[in-house]
Amino acid sequence: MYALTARLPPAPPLLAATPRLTLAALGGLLVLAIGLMRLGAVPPWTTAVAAMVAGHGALLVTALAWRDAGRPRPWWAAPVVAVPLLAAVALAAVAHPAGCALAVIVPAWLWARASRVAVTPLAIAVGAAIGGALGAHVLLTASLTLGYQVVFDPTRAAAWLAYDAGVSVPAAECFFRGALFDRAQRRGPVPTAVALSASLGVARYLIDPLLPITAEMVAGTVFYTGLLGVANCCLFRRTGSVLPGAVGAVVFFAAYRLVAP
Amino acid sequence: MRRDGLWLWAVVLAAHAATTAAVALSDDAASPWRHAYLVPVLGAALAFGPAGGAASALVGVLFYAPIVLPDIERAGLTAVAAESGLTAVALVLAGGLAGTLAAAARRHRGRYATLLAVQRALAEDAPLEIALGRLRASLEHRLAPAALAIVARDGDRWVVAGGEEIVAGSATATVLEHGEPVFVASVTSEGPPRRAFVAPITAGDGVVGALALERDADIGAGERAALLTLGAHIGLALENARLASRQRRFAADLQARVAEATRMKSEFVAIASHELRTPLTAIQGFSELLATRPFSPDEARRIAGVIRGESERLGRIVSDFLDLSRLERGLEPALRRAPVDVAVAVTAALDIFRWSRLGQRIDLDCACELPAVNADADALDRIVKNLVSNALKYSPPDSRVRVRACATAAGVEISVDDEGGGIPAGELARIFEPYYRAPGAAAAARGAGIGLAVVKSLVEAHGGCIRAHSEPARGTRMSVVLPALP
Repeated sequence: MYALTARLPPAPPLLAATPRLTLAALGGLLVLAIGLMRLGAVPPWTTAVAAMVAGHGALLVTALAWRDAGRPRPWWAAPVVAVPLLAAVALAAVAHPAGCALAVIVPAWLWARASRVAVTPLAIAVGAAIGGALGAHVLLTASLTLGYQVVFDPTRAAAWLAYDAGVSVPAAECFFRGALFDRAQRRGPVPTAVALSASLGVARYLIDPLLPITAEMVAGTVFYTGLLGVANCCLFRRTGSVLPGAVGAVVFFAAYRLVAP
Repeated sequence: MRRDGLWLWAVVLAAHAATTAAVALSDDAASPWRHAYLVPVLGAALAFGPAGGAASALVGVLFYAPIVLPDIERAGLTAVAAESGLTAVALVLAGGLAGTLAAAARRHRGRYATLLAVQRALAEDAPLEIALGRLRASLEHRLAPAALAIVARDGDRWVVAGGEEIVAGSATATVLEHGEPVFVASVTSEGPPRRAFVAPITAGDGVVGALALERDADIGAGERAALLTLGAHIGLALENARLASRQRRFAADLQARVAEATRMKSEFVAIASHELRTPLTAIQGFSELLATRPFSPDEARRIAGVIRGESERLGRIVSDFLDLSRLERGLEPALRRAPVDVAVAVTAALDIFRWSRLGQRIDLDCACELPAVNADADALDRIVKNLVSNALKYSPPDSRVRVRACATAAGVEISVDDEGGGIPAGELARIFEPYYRAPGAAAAARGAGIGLAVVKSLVEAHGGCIRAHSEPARGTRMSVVLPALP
């Protein structure tokens, strides 16, 4: 029993092993891109690429750095792969709509370097069911109440699916659940950890430049991503894996992308 | 339990769906049917607590929203819309509140049951290891831990139930050292976090143990406070169990002592009766001879001498009993002191042993010009006679008993040496206790075990001291020193 036989472990701070240099570099890249675009030196898509690399890259490298803390891996091992990979995916998507398919490399890479946690099909099914229920509800509410149309365009849906499944959801789930929630629940009460993780997750979607700034969209984002965050925290706590939550988020966002703005 | 929970959630969802259908079919968002949402909300709250109540209320709101929101979109915030909104808020509040109250009631019931279980586990008389094991089994059933250990002090060592040892620097060792509770939010860095909480077990002013709990689920602040109370309660129960056990041991010990005292009393009465009867029989027999038969003057004198000797012996035994009685009441023997010539007193005392039929020889060695002592002549006579009588009783036939009196720096020393089997070294300290007889003494000679106790009390009443020195198979020397008159 630990309480009898192990010495009291030191409690490291919540933000220990944060890759400050990498985050500063990604922030600098974004500021540089915006500045150059304002000066007309680069086309607007450059900023979109920089924003995607900086935003998702920051979440991903922080999550991986926290995960690798205390392990025999150099701090630069994750950024040196993640950042070029995200840049390649963004550039491919800009170059051709089919380039979005390249995004599947990101979860494949994450899967290859992750420490495996056995996840039952039931857990994945529960995640998909939660995402599906919320997605169905968002479609129902948006179409009945807010006058939004539900449009199924296979090409557009496939592109969004590749983005969500390849970049957006893995980065968000790895950071907000696999890193932030995991650290917070090891330092304090679970409800506090859930609240922290879910609220910062909501904030991430609220500052997403792809989100239309309307009252109902903001309210809907807070409501649905908040619920999704809480549910995914519970799934992560139960299974120890981000996979069920990620599947749920992908299903939810797949439904959400069907709502025509 | 898990399957029951899933079934209950299925029923809750079905009830929400049925209520939604009823409200939708009534074509009125403010239909009285909307109050039926409360049924699954309260059901989930009672079954699963605040989280269950809130989740069920949220499901109700999600089901209800597609009916209410189009009306709001169409007609704005009408009275019906406000009523519907109020219904949604009431559902969430009712779910949370009912769940909180149900969880609190369950928690209180669980705590009382746990305290009762602690009392039951420690009520029976059992060694600490077994009592702690029983307590741990009882708490393991109630606290739902991943691991549980109970540590309690037993003299200088710690008894651990649920573990092998306590490592220095561990959470439990820290609690035992400082007496403050320790909470570790996660003892693992991989996998699901495991909480650990160690509460001190206190009794009186000190820490008498620790209650260590590890759990894969949360251990909230409220539960930690409850565990602290439980630790204090266990400490109290342990202390009560210890006191009860001590009382039981004391009662058993007392019972054994009473039985021993009763046995000794019976034995003493038998021995005392025999001691009194022996000289009495001799007196009766010889006096009857004198009364019924004619004897020559010499023969009659000899018989009268025997009668006198036995009478004196009888008187000595009775005096010993009286002195012992005073001794047991905490009184000193009554003395009538006067200057006494020790040589004369010792010589007179030995006169009675001229008729010893055991065949031992008594040698008297008195130094010339001994200083007088301030003593009770009768007491001094009994001291010498008791010591010589003992020496004769435990010496083999044809051996020698040597009586000496000489002056020392402390006064006058009277010593009696015999050539008996001696007294074992371990028994020497106890031979002056009343009724005590060294093992083997009973087989060698009869006696009540009061002679030396009386001698010691008489000697000490004179301000003197008595010592015993013995060598196995070589003999024993009893020395009495009485302060001399200046």
